[in-house]
Amino acid sequence: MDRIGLGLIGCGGIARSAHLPAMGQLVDRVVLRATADIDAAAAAAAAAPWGADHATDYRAMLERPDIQAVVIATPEYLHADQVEAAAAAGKHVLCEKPMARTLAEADRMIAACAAAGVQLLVGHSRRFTRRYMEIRAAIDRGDIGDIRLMRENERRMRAVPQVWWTPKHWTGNPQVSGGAPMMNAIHEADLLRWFTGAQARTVQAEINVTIEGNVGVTDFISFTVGFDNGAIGSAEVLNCAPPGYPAFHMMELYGTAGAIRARDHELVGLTRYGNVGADYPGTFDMLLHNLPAYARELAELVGAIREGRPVVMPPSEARAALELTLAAVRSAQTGEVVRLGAGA
Amino acid sequence: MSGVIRLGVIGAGAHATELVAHGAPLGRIALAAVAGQGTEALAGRAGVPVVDVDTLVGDPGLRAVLVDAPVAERAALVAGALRAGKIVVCPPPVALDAAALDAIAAAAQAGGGRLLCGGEIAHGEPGRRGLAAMTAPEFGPLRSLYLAIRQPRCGEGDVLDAIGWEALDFVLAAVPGKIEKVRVNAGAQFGAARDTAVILLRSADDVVVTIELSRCLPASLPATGLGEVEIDVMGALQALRITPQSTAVRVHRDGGTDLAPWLDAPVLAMLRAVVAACDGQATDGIGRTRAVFDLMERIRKEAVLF
Repeated sequence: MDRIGLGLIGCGGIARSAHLPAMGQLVDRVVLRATADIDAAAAAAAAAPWGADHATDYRAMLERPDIQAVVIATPEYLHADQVEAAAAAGKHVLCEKPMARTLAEADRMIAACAAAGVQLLVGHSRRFTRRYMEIRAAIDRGDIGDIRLMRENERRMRAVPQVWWTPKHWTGNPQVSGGAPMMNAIHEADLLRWFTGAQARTVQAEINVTIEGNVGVTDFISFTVGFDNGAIGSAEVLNCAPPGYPAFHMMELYGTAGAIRARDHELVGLTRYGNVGADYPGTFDMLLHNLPAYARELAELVGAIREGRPVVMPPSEARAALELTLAAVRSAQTGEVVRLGAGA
Repeated sequence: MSGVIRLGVIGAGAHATELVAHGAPLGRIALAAVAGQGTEALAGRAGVPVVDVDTLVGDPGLRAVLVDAPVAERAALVAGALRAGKIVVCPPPVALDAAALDAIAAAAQAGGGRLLCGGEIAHGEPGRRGLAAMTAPEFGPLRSLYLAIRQPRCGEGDVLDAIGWEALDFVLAAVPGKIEKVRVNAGAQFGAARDTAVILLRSADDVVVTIELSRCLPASLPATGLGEVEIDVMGALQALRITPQSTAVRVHRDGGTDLAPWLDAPVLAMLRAVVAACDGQATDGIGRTRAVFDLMERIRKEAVLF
């Protein structure tokens, strides 16, 4: 079977660390034909191993008939225009999360892809991560009954020297960055929704700026959600933990018939502590920073294209995660309980 | 000041039992007598007499009193001991209403007694070391504090009554700034009573505190005593992960992790605080107890929304 021709729009950190290696893992199913980045060197470096074309403007690749799908790995403030352009050119889309900055942008993206008859898969990679896939399977089997309480804490480590969340990086630019809510906590918003299978009805949150050198972008959020089935969810998401902090991802679910826990410090069978932090080679695949998740994600898009079926995570789900995240930010800003859906 | 400090115990709660089980020596503390219902066995093990409460607090040679009686009885017992001029240590909650708290403050003022907060988490070695570490200059300014207490589902009553006091006692020991915002998401998730509460607090100096209290543990996750306690504290320079039910407090620095094994029961730390108070160290048990009470009132008010 012919391989799916890919274009890569945005060749920064997430492209280098996740999407390009994922393409490499699926070399039997995909071929990277073109890259684009405003940083010409980044575009060239991403293209080189594949012998792909590279450019500083993504529009040219959309004209190519040998490219069937694009992977959009740019900051969220660029997503809506790029997805609309790709859809108009008839390209299927894998778009990094967060889907967009606003619900209006998300709606534009969904409408454009629907009108063009192309796939839109938003890269909520946790849904393709073994840890969470196994949790979802256990919930579906009824292993712990009805979910009543969930928490997923994500305590990301600060960098030394710190670049992210400072003016040295777009994540630290208050004009364009959605901060930790959009960068990180949208994962938690999605997971809480996915696991409980219910609609968020209330959200309360507090946000903060905690990192030295941060000029005002939210890098911390703690929020709690009430769902329409009565379940409660919560998450504390931060980016200031020292290297090697053992409680990076801490998932707990309590149901009417049991509990599920996936907590980093309990999952690691082998931990190495060095002068610059810790790494966990013993159970790598159960932690989040692993390639299979992104390869599964890309494989899902390829499978949906080939089989002519919808992707397993419809874009409406990504929109709902965005809605919950934006509501959490609004709650933090106003000090109010924000109500969603029928309770709004 | 040196010399033996004679201590009386009122009640037969977990801390009183732990104290007696520890046996002698207790440093400069000498257990002199016990009082209260159901304390005969305790007195027998300790080899001290059982006396009535009035006799115990009226003993002029008694310097300090541990009140570990049922919650509903504590306020009156604490007030009596303070009125008699004793140094009193009592686990939270000391008082369940504002009038009782006012009576305790008045008794302390009238009799010259002093109150020490007897929070188990704050006095236990992991919590105590954690509090010391997070106030050290190398920790940097406090950024956030997460505290979860999870108990088995078999417990009864409102979770705020059951474990909320302990949580707030530790939080207010750790967070220096005034709590300005209180948000609560609570419900009866596993039974008929309110058994779960997620509480978000924000202090005047922008520390965000997340408290999760729940009686959510299934039988396959057994927990005794206070339950599973998990505390994660972020400072500008360091972080702390404190798990009092395990055996250590870990300090995570940029260059690695320090692990300090814990050694003693919370009640022994309470007794050291008693000794320090007898030696003249200032105490603010009344102030902190009032702060904990006031914060609990605000949390209850917010929780009514749900």
